[in-house]
Amino acid sequence: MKKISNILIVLFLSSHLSTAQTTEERITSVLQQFPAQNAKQLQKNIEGMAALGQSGIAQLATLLDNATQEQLTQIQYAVGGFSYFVTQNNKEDWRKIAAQAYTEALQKVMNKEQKAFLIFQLQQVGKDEVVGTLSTFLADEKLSGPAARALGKIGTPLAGKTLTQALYGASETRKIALVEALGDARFAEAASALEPLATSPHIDLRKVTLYALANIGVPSSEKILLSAATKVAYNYDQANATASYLIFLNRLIENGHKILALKAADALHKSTPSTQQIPTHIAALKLLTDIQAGASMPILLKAMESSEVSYRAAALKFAQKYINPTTINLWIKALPKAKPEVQAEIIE
Amino acid sequence: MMNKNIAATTSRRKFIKGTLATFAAFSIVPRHVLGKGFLAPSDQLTKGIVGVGGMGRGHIPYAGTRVVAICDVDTRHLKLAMDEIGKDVKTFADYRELIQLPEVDIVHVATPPHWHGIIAADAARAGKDVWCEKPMTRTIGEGKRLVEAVQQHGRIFRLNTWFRFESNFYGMRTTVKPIKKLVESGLLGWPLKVTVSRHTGFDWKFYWVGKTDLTPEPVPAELDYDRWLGPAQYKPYNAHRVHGTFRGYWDYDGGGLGDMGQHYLDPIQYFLGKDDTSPISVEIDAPQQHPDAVGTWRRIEYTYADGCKIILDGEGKDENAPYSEGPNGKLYPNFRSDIPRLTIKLAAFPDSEPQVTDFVEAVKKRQKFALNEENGHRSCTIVNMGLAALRLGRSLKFDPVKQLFLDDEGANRLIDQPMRGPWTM
Repeated sequence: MKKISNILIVLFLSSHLSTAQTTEERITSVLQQFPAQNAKQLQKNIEGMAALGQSGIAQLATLLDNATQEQLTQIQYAVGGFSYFVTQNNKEDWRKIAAQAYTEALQKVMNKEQKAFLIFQLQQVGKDEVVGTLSTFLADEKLSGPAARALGKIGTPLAGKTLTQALYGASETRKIALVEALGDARFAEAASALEPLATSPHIDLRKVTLYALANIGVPSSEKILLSAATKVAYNYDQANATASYLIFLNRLIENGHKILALKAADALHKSTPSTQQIPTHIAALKLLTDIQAGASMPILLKAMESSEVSYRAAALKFAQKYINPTTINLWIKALPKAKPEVQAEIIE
Repeated sequence: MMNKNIAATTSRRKFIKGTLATFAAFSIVPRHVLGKGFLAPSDQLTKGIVGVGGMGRGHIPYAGTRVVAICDVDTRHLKLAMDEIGKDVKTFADYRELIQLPEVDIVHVATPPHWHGIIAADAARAGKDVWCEKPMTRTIGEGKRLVEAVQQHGRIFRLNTWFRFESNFYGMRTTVKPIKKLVESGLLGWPLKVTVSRHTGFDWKFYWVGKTDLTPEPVPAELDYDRWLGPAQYKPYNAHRVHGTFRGYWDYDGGGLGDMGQHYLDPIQYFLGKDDTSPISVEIDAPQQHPDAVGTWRRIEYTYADGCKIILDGEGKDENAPYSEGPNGKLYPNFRSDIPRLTIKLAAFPDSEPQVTDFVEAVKKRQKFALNEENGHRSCTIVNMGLAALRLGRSLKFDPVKQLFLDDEGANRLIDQPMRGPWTM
C-alpha cells in the first residue's frame, strides 16, 4: 500500500511541478530546501527530490562536477539524504530510482573524488542493478577500491562473481581491495581463485587473502591457512596469519564443519605449548570449549595444572558458561589436588 | 521491583561462589602464593602507547606502569612524547612493530576511534593486554570483533572511562556507587527513565561538528596522512580532518556523542544492570546530517526491552527534569530526591557488588577489569546506535541478541563498514 502511495506522490508531484518549472529550476528549488531541519522537512524534501524522477536526480547529481562550494554542500546533503532515506523499508521503488540515477550520473561526472562520492552512495543503496556499473571502475587505480568495497557490501552472488573475475590481470594494489571485498562478502565460490594468492610475497596482499579465506571458511582452505600460521610458529605477524587461522576455525564451526574444526583445534592446542604461544594456546582451548560445550570440562580442569597464570585464568572463564550443579562437582573434586594458588583462583 | 537482569546475574555468581566457598571453608589457601606468569606487586608493567597526540601523551604517567615504546604517524607527536619520556623510549610509525615487542605488557590505544578496533584486536592477538580510549569502536561490527579477539586470546582489556567506579559523575556531584545502590534497592521503582542534559551537568560538546566546505590542502611533511586515514576511505587532506578536530567527521568519530557518549552512558548502563544487553530502539530528533561532517542534534531517546529509557537531551529544554525517575520517585543532582528520608531508607540495603578497579592489579592477577571488552562494547553500542540513527535521519529498532537493526537494510549496512585495505579486523 505504501509502495503505491509513494508512486502516486511521485507521479503527482512530477506532473504538478513539470507544468510550472523547467527541470533546472526544479533542481535549484529542491536543492535550496537542503539541509532539512527536522524529520518532517526531510520527508518533504525527499518527496521533492523523488518527484524529479530518475533523470532529474541524475541531472542533480551530475552538478557535483562543476558546482561552487555552496552548491556542492547542498548537492551532498541532497544526494546523501536521499540515499539514506530510500534504504528504509517500503521505499524499494525510490531505492531503485536512486541506484539508476547515480549510475547515470557516474557516466557523466568526471571528477574522481565526486565519482567516489557517488560510488559510496551505491554502497548504501545498490543491489544487483548497479553491479555492472561498479565493475567498470574495478580497473581504475583510484576508484577500484571504493567500487570493490561497494560490491563487497552489496554482497550478492553476482557481486561476488564480478569481484572474482576482476582479480585476473589486476595489479597487486587493486587485488588488495578486490580480495578484501570478497572476504567481507564471504563469497565461497571465490576461495579457489584466492587460495594461490595466500603465498604472495606481497605482505599486504597475503594478509587480506588470509583474511578473506578465513571469513569465507570453506574446508579446502584449511591447509593453506594452517601452513601460513605454522610458518610464524602460531605467533602474531603482520600478515595476521595465526589470527586468520583462528577466525577460519570459528567460521568452520559456524558453517557446520564441527568435526574438522575440532580436529584442527585439538592439533593447534597440542602445537602451542611454549610461553610465547600462550595467546594462541588459549584461543585453541576456547575453540575446543566452544565445540564440546559441557563435555570440555576435563580439558578445562587439566588446564588448571598449567604453570601459566593467564592460561588458567582463561580456562576458568571458559568454564563458567558450563557450570551447573553437576559440573561444579568436578571442580570441587579437583580442588584438593590443585596447588594452593590454583585453589585460590578457582574459589575466587 | 528489582531489575531482573541484576538479580539473575547476581544469583548465578552467588551460586558458583557460594558452592566453592563452602568447600574452601575447609581448606587453607595462602592467597599470596603466586604461580608462573604472575607478576609480583612490586613489578611495574611496561606500556606501549599507540597514538601520542594530546590524549596519548596525557596517559604517559600511570601508577605501576612505565612507557617503553611509542608509536605515531606524525613525527611531531613522537618528538613531543620523547621530550616527556626520554630518549631511551623506542619509537615507531607502524603499530604492528610496537605490538611485537616482547618487553611490552600493555598496549594503550590512544588514536582516533577509526583505528581503535584494529589496533586493539591486533594487540590482543599479539598477546598484549589492552587499554583503549573511548569510544571503544567506531561501529557495532568492529566492537563485536574486538570482543572476540580479546576473549579468544585471554587478554585483559580496559576501556578508558572510569565513572562507573570512581570520580563524581559530572553534575550529579556524587559517585555512581550510591546511584547504583539506590537503583538496586528498588526505591525508585521500575522501569526507570534517565535524562542526560546540561541541567544535570552533562555537556554534549556540540563544538565537535565538522565543516562542509573543506578544500584540499598540502599534507604536512611530518604526517603520514595515508597511514592516519588507515581503514577510512580516502579523502583529500585538510587540517580540520585530523588531530584536534577529527571528531567532526563520520569517517573517524561521531562528534560530541562520540566523544562524550560513553563517558555519560556507560555508568547508566551499569546502574540499570544492562551490561549484557542493548536498547531495542533509538528515536531521534535532529537536523539532517551532512554525509561527511557530523552535525548537532536535539534529542535522542533509547528504550530497553523492559521499558527503561535513556534520554539524551541536547537542547536542555526542561530545567526541572530529574536525572532519574521511576514510578516511585525521582533523583536529582546532589542526591536530592522526592522520596522522604531517602538516605536513611537506603542505609538498610546492601551495597552493590565490588568492582575490580585497579587495572595494573587486574593484569597481574588476570582478573576482568570493571569496564572491560564486554560491557564496554555494550555501552559503545548505545553510542553507535545513536550515531547510525543520526546519519540515516530516522529512528531505528535493534535486536540486542543478534546485534542487528530490525527491518532496515540501510541501517545494517552501517553496522560493518568496509575498510580500506590492507586494514582488516
